[in-house]
Amino acid sequence: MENVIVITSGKGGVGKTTSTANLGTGLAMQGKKVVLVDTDIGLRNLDVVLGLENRIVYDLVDVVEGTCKLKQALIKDKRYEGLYLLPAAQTRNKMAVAPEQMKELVAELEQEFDYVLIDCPAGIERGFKNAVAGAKSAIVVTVPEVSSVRDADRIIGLLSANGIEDVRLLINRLRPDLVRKGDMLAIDDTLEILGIDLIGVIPEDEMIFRSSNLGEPAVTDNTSLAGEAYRNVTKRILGEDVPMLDLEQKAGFFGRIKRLFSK
Amino acid sequence: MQGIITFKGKEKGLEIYLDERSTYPVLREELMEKLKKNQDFFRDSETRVIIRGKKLSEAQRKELRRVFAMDFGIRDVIYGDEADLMREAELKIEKPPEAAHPAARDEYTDEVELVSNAYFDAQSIFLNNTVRSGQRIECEGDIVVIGDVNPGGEVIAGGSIAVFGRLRGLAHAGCAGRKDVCVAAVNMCPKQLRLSGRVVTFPGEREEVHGPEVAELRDGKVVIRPVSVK
Repeated sequence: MENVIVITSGKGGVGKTTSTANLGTGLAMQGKKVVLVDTDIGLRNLDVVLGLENRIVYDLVDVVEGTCKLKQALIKDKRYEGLYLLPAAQTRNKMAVAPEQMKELVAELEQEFDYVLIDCPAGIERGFKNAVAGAKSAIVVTVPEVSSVRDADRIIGLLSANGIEDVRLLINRLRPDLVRKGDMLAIDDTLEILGIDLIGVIPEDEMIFRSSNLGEPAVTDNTSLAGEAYRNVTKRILGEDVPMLDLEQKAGFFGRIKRLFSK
Repeated sequence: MQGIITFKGKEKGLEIYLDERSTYPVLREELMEKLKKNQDFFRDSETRVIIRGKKLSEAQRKELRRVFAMDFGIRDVIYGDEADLMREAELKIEKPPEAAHPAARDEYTDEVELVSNAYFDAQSIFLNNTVRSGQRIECEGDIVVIGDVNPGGEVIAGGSIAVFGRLRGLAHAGCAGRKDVCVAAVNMCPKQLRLSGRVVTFPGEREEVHGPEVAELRDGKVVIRPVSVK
């Protein structure tokens, strides 16, 4: 994939921010210099998921308005070498930034970093337009649920209208047991509707709640199945050919016990 | 209605100016009336008619040409932009020799036009990609989609609709009232289908459909049949 990736979904609550935090941290763990840009102005939470909330002084709007220099607003994550966050403003709204300004900002970040990951807000209005303005690739996050898939479909159309053709699908919160019972959309059904390449499937994992609350992305946790799935997605972003996780086999109770012991 | 069409006599014929602010159907009506009133004046088939003003689509041009040829015997109808192009061309290039049997050729052309009469004045859309949620494809004529129509996508046609893929979104054929229309899909599983003024809903899942199907109106009812069965 290209070096500027927007993570988007249309629908809210499907895991855009969690995925951005995990993939960004994953890329940093692979030795890349990465910046995560939170474009959800007014409803920021990427900083919380990353555990960097207390270190925010300046934000994206300050940079765009010239209140501070870009370098001053970037927060370096001390735990992982090469991971930076550009937080959103919480007290402003999406209209504070224009797509052209985002384009300039991203172009500047691109010079400094190996990867720029843009966390897109829910919706298709100004916030979405800001987020996709400078992006070259996109990861569309969806949960296996018809409403989410329909929104993802809409987003894929809009991305294409914005000239972004390299679009991959990330299916989040999959529960193999429910799929087996026919209560949840299967991976194939989702892919058939959306017709784009799959970059990964993240299983439903209680550890995600824990890691989000603690501010430590699951990707760093070797016992987490979701973490392993995110690590694989990271490698696929870097161009490695990693086979999909066999969720059926690993998701069972015994599977998890076995995994705990095998580590 | 006064003044949307202006006639102007020229050395070699007639110039007709169509008001740009008016719409095609209005202009056509008005033009017919004016022409009928002055029919005698146009009896000379040598008259050249140049039409200027309102931009017309290819189909509209064709229709006007036909009217002039059939009703008034005037075959030399050209449009402003063509006339401007021709002026230079005429100076440089000799006219091509007349066809050996001009009469025979005319007959043939008329027949072809009659066959396609239903599609007159309508342009069709051929779409080579999937119609996604939130996208709306509208057309006065027919629409062909090579790909799927996804839930939340809309395809609205004055004529018929063919989907070479799975139809899961909304398809409305004959949206302006035409009843001789159909919706065909390789995989017909919409939640709702509209034909002319009829709206039908599919409450259950239609995922288990096998093979291409056509929906059409029969005695005012929507009937869905496999393509292979007439």
